[in-house]
Amino acid sequence: MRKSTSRKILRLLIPILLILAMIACSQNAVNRETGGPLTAVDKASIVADELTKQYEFLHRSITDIMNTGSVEQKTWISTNVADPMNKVKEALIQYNQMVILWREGGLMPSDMYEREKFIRETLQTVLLLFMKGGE
Amino acid sequence: MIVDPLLLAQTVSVLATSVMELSKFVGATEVDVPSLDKLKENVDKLRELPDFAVIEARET
Repeated sequence: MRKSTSRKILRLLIPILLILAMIACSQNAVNRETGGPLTAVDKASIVADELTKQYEFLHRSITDIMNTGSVEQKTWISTNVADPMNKVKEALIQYNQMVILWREGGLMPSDMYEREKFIRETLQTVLLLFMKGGE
Repeated sequence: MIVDPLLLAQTVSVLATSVMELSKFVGATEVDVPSLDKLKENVDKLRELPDFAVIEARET
């Protein structure tokens, strides 16, 4: 095999292998504390924490605008963003509580995934609205 | 020189399987799972955040 061809193949193979290794590693995620594989309740805890952080960040940004923005901006937020944000907050409190109960020995709540979907989608919608409103 | 695509596919497949198997031993990612206290703290923090109607009323 010519040297240039080998190099071309190597150039092709190395990124493929790196990507595969990254995928494989992410699928083999383990709980740092227990050392065991991530359980469903571990994953739900991570989701609850991650979504709470996202909400806090958005809340902070919107509050900043409410405190310092123009009257138009405040009116725009009240009309478009306030209601979904309040609803997400309630849903997030419930989601965190569900995970707490689950971890304390309860059963997995049946509407866990629907609630997660609602929170994610509403946060995305608010973000999109925000980006459109900022244009 | 033309590379046989079948041979290339087989090579990638064998290497991918090896990487997957090896990663089980060396590449497992350790993830921090939030503690129960952290989740309770989240609930408290969320409850403390004012609703936007309240922020609005405070402003006017």
